[in-house]
Amino acid sequence: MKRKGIIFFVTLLIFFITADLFASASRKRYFNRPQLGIWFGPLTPMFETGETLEPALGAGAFFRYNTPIDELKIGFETSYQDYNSRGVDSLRLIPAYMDLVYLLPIDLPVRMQIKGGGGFCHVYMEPDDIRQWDPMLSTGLEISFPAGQMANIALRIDYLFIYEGHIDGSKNNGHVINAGISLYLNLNL
Amino acid sequence: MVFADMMKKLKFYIASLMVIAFFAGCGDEPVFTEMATNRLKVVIKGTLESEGTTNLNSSANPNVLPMEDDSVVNHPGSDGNMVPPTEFMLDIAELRLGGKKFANYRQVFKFDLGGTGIDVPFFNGDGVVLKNDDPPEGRYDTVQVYIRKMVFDKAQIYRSSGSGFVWDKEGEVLFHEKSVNGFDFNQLMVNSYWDSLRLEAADILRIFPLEVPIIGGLDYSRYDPETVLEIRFVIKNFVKKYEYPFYSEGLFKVSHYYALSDWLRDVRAGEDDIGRNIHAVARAYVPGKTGEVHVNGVTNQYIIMIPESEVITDYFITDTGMNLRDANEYDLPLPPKYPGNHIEAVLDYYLKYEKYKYDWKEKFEGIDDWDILSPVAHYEAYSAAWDTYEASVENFKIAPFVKYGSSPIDGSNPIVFRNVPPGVYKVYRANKPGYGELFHGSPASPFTEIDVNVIVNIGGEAIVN
Repeated sequence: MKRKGIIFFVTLLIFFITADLFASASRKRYFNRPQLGIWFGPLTPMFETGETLEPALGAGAFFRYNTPIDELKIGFETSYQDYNSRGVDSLRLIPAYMDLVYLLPIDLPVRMQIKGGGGFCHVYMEPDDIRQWDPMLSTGLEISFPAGQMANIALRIDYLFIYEGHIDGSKNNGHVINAGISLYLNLNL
Repeated sequence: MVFADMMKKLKFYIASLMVIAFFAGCGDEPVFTEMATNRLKVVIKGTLESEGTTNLNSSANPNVLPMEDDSVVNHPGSDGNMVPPTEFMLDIAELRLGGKKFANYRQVFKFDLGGTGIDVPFFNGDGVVLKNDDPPEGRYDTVQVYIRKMVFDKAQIYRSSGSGFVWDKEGEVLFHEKSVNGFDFNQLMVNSYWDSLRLEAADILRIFPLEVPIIGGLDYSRYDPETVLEIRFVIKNFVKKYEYPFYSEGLFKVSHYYALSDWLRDVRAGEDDIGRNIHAVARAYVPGKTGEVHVNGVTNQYIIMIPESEVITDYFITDTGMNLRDANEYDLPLPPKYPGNHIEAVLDYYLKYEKYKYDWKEKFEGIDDWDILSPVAHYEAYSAAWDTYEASVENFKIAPFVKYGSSPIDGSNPIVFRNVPPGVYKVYRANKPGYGELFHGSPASPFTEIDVNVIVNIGGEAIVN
């Protein structure tokens, strides 16, 4: 009960702090619409994953929808990531996950958003021909530049953690960083 | 406290994801672990013997038979410049198992052929490990080795002086992006007299890939922590000197070089190809899932062991390669090569061509009923004769287990085959072949049966007397 009270208080506080921002910046209104976008950029395997796989280029798509809280959107992300190794192995990842995107209340011409979420990642390894779904978590940062009422251009960086610890004999999990430039549209839904 | 709380929440989150994963039918293969582990160990060796150094006879003099091949006709015999090779160089591009790529690392080796004493791992039975990414699970019966280059050093080039040959320079070849003394005999690993008759002649460079049978097969499973695939090439003490004639700016030259013995497919004077004379075999085992075989009562003989499913007739040929080829009456002389546009060389060529026509006619008239048979009948007899020849040599294999030595009958000092996968085996013995030769009969089998029902169990020791 006490905890709920604190959460309610903090939420209320955030509301009052940020309410002022809404009033002043009309530009942000466009940004607060549902958004549909694509991104393109380098994929960098990290840590133990980086010891076997080579960096690659990849692309993805996302959709974000508003929540009752203006700063918070709920999104769905997917992408196509094809990695080669120095040897014959290659790995294809297709993450599909939901995330929450939070717009940082900083009054700058650029919008900064942080995000976090989880879902599943389709993993296909060649030539062993293993294809399966693994659970995954993601977190990331996005800086976007409004380009008119319709479109935004953003730089984004995401860290994906593909979890395999629950599988027998597993020693490694998957770690990749996706950086990218993205273009997305503010939709009038 | 806060951190511990967070961890607790994270764990809860992961746990719930796992539950969802379970219901969503998530995978059960640790893919990222799989990519980082290597369970297949590929070992290459350069000896006939499956363990230890080779006991094939060595030869110190490359200027006389048998180390000098009888195809050396332009400049045969003694020459102080020609010394036995000291190095074997090997450049491997890729490995495949049953056609599936599992190692695309270029791997380059230089092995010291040395004397009879201490050997490098390639020749002393330890073997050299090839890097690979594991293959997919399954059973494989062949391994393909893509060999870019095979070089023995100490090649020499001689030029015609009109009345004889004088030393010109050392033979040079590019190996691992550097110029080295030697001759890359990989490029000659075809048989023009036979292969060019075939429909598939365009893709018969027999060394890229070299198809190596895995006797007993390789059962690769991710549940075995290690599987060993051992590939053996007969190289040590299986070397002969050959001659490669060519014209360089009108000068007739010969390159004297070393390559693997032509014991199986005899190389004749005037033939540049020395192909399909590389003998290789592979075997696989899982360490910890093997037994041993002890052989007693042998005196200075080769012991070979093959799985029950193999037939012993594949492990020898019925006569020497030379005699088998002599038996082919349609083995007609080859025409000389046109040397290019230097007048002396062309005049030489026409002389050789006249000689070729004469030799051809003489050989052709030696064929039974040569003047009665129609051209069509001749053609059919020609292909039949070469098919017969090919059938007599094409199935030759070397055994997965080979060792040489003596052992008393009381079992006090047995000849031991280690790392033998469980199963039933056949054990034979044979006398040591001559220089540059392997096992051939005349035509009876060179092998004497010791025991054809040797049962090997995991961790067991099968005794053969």
